[in-house]
Amino acid sequence: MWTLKRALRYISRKKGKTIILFILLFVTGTFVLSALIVEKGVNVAQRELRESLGGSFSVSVKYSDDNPYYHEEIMEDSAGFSDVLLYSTKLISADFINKILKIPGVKSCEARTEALCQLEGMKLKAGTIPIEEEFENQQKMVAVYSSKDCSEFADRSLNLVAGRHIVPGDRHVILLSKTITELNHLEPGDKLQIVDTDNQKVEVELIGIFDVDTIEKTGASVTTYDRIENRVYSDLATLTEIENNSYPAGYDQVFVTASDPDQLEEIVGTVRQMDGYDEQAYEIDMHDEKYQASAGALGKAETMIKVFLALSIVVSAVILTLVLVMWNRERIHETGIYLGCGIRKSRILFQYLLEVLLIASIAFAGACIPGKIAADHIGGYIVAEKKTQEDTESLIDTLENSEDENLLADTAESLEMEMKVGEKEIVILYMIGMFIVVFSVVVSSSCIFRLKPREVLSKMS
Amino acid sequence: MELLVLEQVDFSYEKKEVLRKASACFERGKMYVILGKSGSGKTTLLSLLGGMDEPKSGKILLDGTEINKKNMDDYRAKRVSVIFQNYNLVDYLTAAENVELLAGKGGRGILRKLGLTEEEITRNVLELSGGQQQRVAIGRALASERDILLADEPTGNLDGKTALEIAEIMKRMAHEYKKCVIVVTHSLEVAEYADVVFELKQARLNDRYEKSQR
Ligand SMILES: Nc1ncnc2c1ncn2[C@@H]1O[C@H](COP(=O)(O)OP(=O)(O)OP(=O)(O)O)[C@@H](O)[C@H]1O
Ligand SMILES: [Mg+2]
Repeated sequence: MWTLKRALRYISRKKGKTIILFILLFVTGTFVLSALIVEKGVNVAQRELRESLGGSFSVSVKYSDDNPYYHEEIMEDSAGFSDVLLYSTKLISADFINKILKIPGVKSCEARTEALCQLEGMKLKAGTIPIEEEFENQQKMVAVYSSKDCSEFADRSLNLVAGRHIVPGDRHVILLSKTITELNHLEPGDKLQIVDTDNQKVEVELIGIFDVDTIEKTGASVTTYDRIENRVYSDLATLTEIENNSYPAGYDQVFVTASDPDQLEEIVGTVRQMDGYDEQAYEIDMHDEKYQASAGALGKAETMIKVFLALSIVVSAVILTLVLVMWNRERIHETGIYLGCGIRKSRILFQYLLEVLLIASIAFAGACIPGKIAADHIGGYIVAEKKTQEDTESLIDTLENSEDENLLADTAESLEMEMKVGEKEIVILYMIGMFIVVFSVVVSSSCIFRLKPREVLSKMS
Repeated sequence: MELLVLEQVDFSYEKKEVLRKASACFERGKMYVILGKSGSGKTTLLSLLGGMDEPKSGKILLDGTEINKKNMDDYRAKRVSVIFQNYNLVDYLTAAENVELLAGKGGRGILRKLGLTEEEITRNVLELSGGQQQRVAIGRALASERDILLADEPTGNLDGKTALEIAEIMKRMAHEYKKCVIVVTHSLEVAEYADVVFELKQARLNDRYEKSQR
């Protein structure tokens, strides 16, 4: 008689055992499948997080004495006021930036130049360090090529909350902080005047408002113009217009955004090796704290899921083995009869394997429905847990404050979207399941098949 | 012509000697009974004859060829079938299916010949009486092409009348179907049906008697 036929008879006539095995394998399937689905969801979320948060670093000119190109000059103007001029004769060239852009994995470069400026009639948030009167109304202006790519926005320390970003080609536009726009009752579209050193005015348009999402908000000791809330983001054309000095041409700083924060270290390494990079004149800062924090949270979730998956596999295999061992007494008789009939051990083992495999394949198919439901709950729990993680800057916190509110929804959605039972998960489930079944059947039957036929026989009578 | 030959066979467990220099010949078409008290080594001897273990020394020959580790599986698979006192049948197979384990499709006819009804043949074997179960087991042995039938206390669980019916069937198997039937038992009544009776006593296998003519 065919091995398969015997296996089918066993399944259909030993209903009690079939049901027990079915329930056991059904639960196993549910656990394993939900773990697989959640793992996939977490992976996708991680990838999206990396893509959305990005990673960036900056190369900036050192303004300190260990830079040999650094100069401090005391200037005296006609009225007899003295002014300290700080500058470096080695700035970052456009050529250098072009080279960085060619490194694989670099998404964009953002060069910036900073200066102080004064906006007409602007009320500012005072700093905590007293400064000379002449600087009291000064704000730091950062001229950018594209504000979206500049590091503060890229790492989400600053988030655009109204209006739009500065894009390449913009002229006479600025971004201000929420604090300042509230203080001065401004909104996007308002026109403002920048007063330059010669008291000439440049008209600019407020096109966007950003919010500050860092500890700098409560910063301990800053001057008024260093307060991040008082910062003005503008375009290079505006900055050049209000600057009348003839510094050497070049940028103070270049921001490099990587498409994948995981590649950041490597890219920085390449930059350090590049021609034109000068260890003494430049310094590099990494901006991937947000990513590190969020990735940490998701990484923890991933580890949890992996542990859960491994535990499900081990526990199921152990329970299944124990149940099968419990039934061994009966199987010994059967084995003896089959051996007596000249059916080979391998065939008999194959039959026992087939029985469980057949039940497993049905149980696993059935496990897709509760597996999906369980995965939704676990996924929901992970999202919820991340929402409540206020001490660490979690993904969700970051995204909630982001300029792009859809991002939160997107990520949550993608978590849910990817919680679908895919073909790949089912294939993996079957592979894991088959492994558990083969392991349990072989281990539990080994005490029967280790016996000599005579020993099987003597156990029968 | 001798089918199965025991030659100076010794067998012992770690502490216990079970067979010492046991020799015997078994032929086709005869029923043999090996008598012995409980613990005398009947099951052990049967398992040696059935190719389920090897003697410590001496030989077991089948058609003049020694049964050894290499051909033991083949021997079990093609030449010999065994009936036990109980648990002869796989409980999730019907009577017919149990016979078909060895016989292919011819199972039903044999079972009918052994006196089972059509309904009994398709019933779950656990719902058959002990005697009926033994008939199914014999039927399976009979259905096979195998020429050696070994039985370990096949009547041990049956009442006297049924036991003798089974013994009668075994005898018919030897005489009509030309099988070599070897039954171990402690029942003297069953021994009455045998052509040759051996006795197993203190590790010795002795010819007790041989009916010159049946
Ligand atoms: N696996 C074993 N290990 C050690 N001793 C064994 C083993 N199997 C059987 N024996 C011993 O060998 C002797 C013969 O056992 P065997 O089962 O052959 O007796 P038996 O004649 O079939 O007895 P019964 O009529 O009770 O079935 C007994 O004393 C038994 O205790
Ligand atoms: Mg015995």
